[in-house]
Amino acid sequence: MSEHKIYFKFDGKTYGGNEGDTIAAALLRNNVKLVGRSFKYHRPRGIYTCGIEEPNALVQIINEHNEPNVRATVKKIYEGMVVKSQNRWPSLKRDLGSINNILSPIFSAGFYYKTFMGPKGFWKNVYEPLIRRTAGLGKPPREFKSKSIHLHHNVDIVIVGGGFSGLLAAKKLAATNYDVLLIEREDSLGGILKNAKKIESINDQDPSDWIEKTERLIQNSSNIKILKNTLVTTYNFNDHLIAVEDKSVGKPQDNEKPELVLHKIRTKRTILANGHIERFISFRNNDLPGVMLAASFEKYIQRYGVVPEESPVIFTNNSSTFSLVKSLVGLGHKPKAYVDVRDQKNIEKETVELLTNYNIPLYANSEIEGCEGKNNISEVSIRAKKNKIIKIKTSMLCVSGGFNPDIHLFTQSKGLLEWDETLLAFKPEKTFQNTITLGSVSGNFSYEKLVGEINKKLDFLEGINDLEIKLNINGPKRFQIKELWETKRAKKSLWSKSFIDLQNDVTTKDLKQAVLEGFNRIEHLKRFTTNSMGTDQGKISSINALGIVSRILKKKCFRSWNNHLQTTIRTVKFLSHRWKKYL
Amino acid sequence: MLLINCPYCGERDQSEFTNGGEAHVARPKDPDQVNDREWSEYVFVRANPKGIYYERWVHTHGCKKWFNAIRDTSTDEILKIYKMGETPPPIKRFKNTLRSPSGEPDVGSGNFTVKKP
Repeated sequence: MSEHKIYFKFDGKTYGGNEGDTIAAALLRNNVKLVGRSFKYHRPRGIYTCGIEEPNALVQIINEHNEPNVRATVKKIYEGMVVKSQNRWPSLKRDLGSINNILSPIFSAGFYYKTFMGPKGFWKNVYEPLIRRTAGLGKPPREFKSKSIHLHHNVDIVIVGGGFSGLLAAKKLAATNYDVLLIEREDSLGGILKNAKKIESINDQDPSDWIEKTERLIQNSSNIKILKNTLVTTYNFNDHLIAVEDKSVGKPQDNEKPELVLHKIRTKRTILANGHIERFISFRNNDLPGVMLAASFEKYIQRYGVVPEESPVIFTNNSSTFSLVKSLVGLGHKPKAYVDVRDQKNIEKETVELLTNYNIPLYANSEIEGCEGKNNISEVSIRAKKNKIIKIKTSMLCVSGGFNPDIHLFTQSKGLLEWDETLLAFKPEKTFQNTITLGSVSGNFSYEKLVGEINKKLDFLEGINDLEIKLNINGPKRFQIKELWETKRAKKSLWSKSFIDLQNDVTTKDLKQAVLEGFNRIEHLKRFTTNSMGTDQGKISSINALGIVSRILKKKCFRSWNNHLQTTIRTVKFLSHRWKKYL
Repeated sequence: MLLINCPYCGERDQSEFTNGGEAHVARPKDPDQVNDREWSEYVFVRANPKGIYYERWVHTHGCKKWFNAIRDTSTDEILKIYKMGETPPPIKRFKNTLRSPSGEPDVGSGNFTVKKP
């Protein structure tokens, strides 16, 4: 692991990373946690996730085009790459714009709309140039001469996602008469099997061996074609998919060859196996560098071999963080504390056993009240039972607020969603086109039931056999979650912030203010607060926003909204009809 | 993007076609004799239903021929395609399912009263 091969520059300093590292993974390898400044308040921001859902770690790549707003968690490094942080002056550590953070009580939601009204002509000549200089993302790119090409495909079945369910579906379809296209976003197949230690063995083999074997089987069957580094972006009518293939992964730009290929795919059936995205929980200063989603933390360990921090604090409201503890203790590290929102009796006995075995303190029925630190977390405060505040020194905090099935493509296909009260998430209910959802995108978070689900849903296809597989699963078998969107603050201060949208600097207080000012329709609220309007489109936070707003509305306008709002969950459901198209 | 079955060429992408609006709108026999109201009705007024609809298409980037289609505007499903000059099949023959994507009501855009069917 210590063999550094690829050297790149970040803000003028040279760092080394391994081949296949993303910018974020390489920076974490070098213990760099501060990577950017936020949009409005210029607060220090770090790496929050490990994939396309990243709201914070946006950087500018200095090359022929000066690409702005590149997600550091997606872009792979190459030799001699020059990366710069964004939205800061004169430097990342000392940013003059952070004066906005001190003035933040006046910059609440709607500040711009209300303040910069007149006199006439001032907006265009004075206010706008001024605001543009301090607010915003990267610098505009230079002229972009695309060498990209497009290709057409006509196939019988498209499998979106080469994770566990995608591989199983492909295995089932291997050596049949169907013409199949398997599309994977990352540069290797395997998905969750590579990202987390959730499954110990498949058919008594190591998961990585199983992936290799399955991939070989798929490659050897003439009817399946695999596209890697390809992201399906659009799902149109009549099962028409648009996918973008990145040809320049881990390579500098080539002036002769196309860097992107656009695939236009017409298919008879679409199998969506594109997984899930983790979401966070809002608490005081939940945007500080050092806060990271728990599944992403584990992905850095398992996929990239980087341990961002050897003894983090883990904060969760569900059963999924078992594998993170397992990954850490497997490497000889030990989390400092395990904070679980659920009652002691609801926490799975596997988790409790693991924690006791390794002598990790478990705080049940507790929550993270907030955290302290300047450019990185230094201390978290836990509200334990009976409102007792316990302070723990740490440099990283892993948060897990549950999972959203990645239903973006499913909603584009015009399918209907339903709210699942046990998963606390939206899952597909009724398809509109020839769509089949498999695995966690269909709301099935149980690996045990996965094979049964695939056999059942693909049963109607001709010439396929029943899959049989023996799994040895790590940790809790059932997914369990307790509802929590925002934790309670200990002190009330004008400057304390708990963020709901990290990219656009929307706080939970802004949501409350928007409701107070009458923007209580979710579309209005979105536009008034700019919640989930960034480049990440609120992938890790928009359901949380729905949860918080529905709670406020239930309390304040219960009578007038009575027809629609019987319970919180129904409110979420009601509001989300309008919101889901932005998910 | 729809897949349209051109009666002359076969199934092609929607991008090859141009929509020509409502079909079977009869031109007044003697245009000089009609009043402004009747003429404007012929030129401007269209049914625009939410449901089954007769319309014209032209295969612009193909055979360049015009043809008629019956489409369910709520689901964008093309129920029938027939050549110009053929007798249009009666609308009753098709079942109006009104299965709209986000579970909207039968009439209107459904911006305010979203309820599942």
